[in-house]
Amino acid sequence: MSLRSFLVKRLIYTVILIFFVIILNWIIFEALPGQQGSFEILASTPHTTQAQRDKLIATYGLNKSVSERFYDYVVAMLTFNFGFSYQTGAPVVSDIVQSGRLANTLLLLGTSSIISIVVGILIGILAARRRGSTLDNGSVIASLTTYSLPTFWMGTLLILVFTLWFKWFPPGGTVPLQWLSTAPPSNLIVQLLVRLQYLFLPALTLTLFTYGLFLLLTRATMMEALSEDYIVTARAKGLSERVILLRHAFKNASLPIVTATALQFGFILSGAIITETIFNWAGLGLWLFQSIQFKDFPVIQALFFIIALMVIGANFVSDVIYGIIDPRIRYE
Amino acid sequence: MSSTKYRRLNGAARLLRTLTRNRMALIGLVLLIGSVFVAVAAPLLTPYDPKSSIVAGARAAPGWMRSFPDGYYLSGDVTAVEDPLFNSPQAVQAWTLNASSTAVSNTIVSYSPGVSSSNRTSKGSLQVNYGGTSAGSVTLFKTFNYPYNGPPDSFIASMSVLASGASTLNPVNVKIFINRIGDQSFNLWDQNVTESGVWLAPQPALDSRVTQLQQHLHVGSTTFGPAQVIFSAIQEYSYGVQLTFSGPAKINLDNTQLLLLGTAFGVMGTDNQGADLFTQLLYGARISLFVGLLSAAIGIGLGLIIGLIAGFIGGIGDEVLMRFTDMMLVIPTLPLLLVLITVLGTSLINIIIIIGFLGWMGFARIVRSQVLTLKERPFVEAAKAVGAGRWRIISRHVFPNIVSLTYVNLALTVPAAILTESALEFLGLGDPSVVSWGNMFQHAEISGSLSIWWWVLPPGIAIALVSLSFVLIGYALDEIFNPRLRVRR
Repeated sequence: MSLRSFLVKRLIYTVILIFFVIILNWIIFEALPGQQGSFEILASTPHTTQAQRDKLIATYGLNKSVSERFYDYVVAMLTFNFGFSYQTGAPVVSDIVQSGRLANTLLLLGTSSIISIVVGILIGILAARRRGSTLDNGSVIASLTTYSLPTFWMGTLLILVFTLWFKWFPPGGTVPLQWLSTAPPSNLIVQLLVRLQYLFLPALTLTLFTYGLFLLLTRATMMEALSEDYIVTARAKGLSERVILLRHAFKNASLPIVTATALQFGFILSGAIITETIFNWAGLGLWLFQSIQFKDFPVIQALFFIIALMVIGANFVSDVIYGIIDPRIRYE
Repeated sequence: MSSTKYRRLNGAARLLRTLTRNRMALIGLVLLIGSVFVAVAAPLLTPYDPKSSIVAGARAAPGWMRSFPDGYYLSGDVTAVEDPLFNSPQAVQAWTLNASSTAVSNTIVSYSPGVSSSNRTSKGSLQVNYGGTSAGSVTLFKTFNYPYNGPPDSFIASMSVLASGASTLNPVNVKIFINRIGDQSFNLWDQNVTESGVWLAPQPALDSRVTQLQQHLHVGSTTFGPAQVIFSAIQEYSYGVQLTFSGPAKINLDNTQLLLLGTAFGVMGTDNQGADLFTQLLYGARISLFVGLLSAAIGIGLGLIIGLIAGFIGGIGDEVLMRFTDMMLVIPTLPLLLVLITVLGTSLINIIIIIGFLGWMGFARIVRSQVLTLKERPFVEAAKAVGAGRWRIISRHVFPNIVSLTYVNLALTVPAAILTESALEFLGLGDPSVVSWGNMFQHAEISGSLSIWWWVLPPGIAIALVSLSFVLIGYALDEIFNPRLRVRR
């Protein structure tokens, strides 16, 4: 199997997955109870004329048959035409992209994922090399403990300590409030530093939530690789410890890490939703939380789709990386 | 039959022995036993109801803070009257009668058994029988000591009055007061009773936090309420009632309590309603363990069934089941959970079922791959050759080899379920009717009490300890059952 046919296969699978998500989303919002209420609410809203109500019902497409709605829905999902928010009345897609929410979420997710992957893999390798050492035991205990801590609690604690006590960081938000009314400062370095100050605590919370996974995973796969016969051979050849560790052991251990990382992406996103809510970080997670409280169904539906797309996208990227780094796929 | 039973017991005992040899697992076991004990014995460990008993003032500090210099001004609860419901005749003797000599000669204070404002809780009441033909005034009071440096958070005074022989022509004036002895008297309630045979009680209740009482008392400001003004010093106080008769009448008094709610209470203080936080912490263990174990059991059970089926039927059925599993694995769990709970409702049962139904995928894959390798093992081939049926092979040869995997995954799924449930509570999508740790934290958040550390820290630590106990056990089990990772020597 060449790399190309491997990727084509994964691409087809990805497309099937997207349709699966679309159908699942449809079932949740159409077949399950709760959704139909919005039609009745709109139809019986007081202080509106019949014409206004009809217009609303037509805007939200509540008067069509189920099959018509399904068709419209699939088309809408594929064209990112998610309709209008009940809350703001604005098109959902502009609330996602133009408002900067998607960018904010990607910034938070990206920063903390990169930090936790790097930190987790590095400490994981070191721990696997010195099995049973203080570093090994300590890192395992630390990972298990931070995994067991509720994210919302950890975030709140960080706010209490670093903003209420030390007053080092702002308590929440994405940028200072005055930036929203007036323009942000023209000095880019100042702007960057202030943004970093706002990013620090949410990113730290999310990193603490995720690094343990990568650490434990790397440690386990590295240990398995280090117990293989080819490591004994490498040692017998007199190769340096660094070469054995990185070129021989880690290269083999990295494959399961890549696969698992993609699967953990959904888990990291769950952490991001909670983190954004604690820190009032204007991203997709906070917005999902707000929309759920408002029962803003078009937005919830769109956000679920977008978040699932992000996970599916991450899985596809990991497939590509896997295809590139696993020689068996290239040469077979 | 008995031999398999013995073998199984032996297996469990061996597992326990191996676990206690592993340091991590031992810590996990101790934590787990501790939290199960707290969950089961919660009603024995605390006398209060987690939500409905008001035990002290709102947001009271922990009681032990009083012994620190910072806690100098904290106060505890004071009950002015020992037996306010007059359950025993001795209760009457606690009350002192004060009146002019002519009024005293016309007044008899006695215990009246069976006459009570509430027949279910109280056995009797105090009766004042005034026989004078002209007007006269009697005062009944109970003295008590206020022992704290700082004022109470608030007070609640109660008094039920039953008149007989009173009418519009023969009214009895009832005044309820608190007297700072030797200084000033504060009049809480003042009313003419003209009706006979009906128990009357102040409406609204004489609670220092209620505006009507604050207006009536004419004391206090925006920063200090009546409780702070009245109980501003360590000294003797009295709580009582002044009855002014215009002619012969009888008055029965019951439910005569003056309760001072302190600013410090118990091990962990109180919430914004004045309910005991320590009680809520103890009862919270029940919900976490219940949700964690039950939804993990659902998830693991589903995973086991789907994995076994997929591994055994093979072919197209296996392919379909595994592709479905893969798809479900990719769907982000928390958003799906949030959406489902929004649509289906936030009852505890819903939460348990939904968490359970979203937690089977990983285990199903593990079981399937295990079944696939087991199927090719010689002992299964041998069983097949002897003529064992498919069900017998699954139950006697394959399943026992998956049990250890099930333990490991159960132990690792429970904390995930516990953490997910608490996250739902934090996001306001938990069951509001239960007392849980997530709920406790969320109440601190929505009542703006996040800076009260004795409220915010314990629920998080409790969640962490319970999930850590399962994580440690699961991790240790994984190392025990996975000898691949043992060091080569």
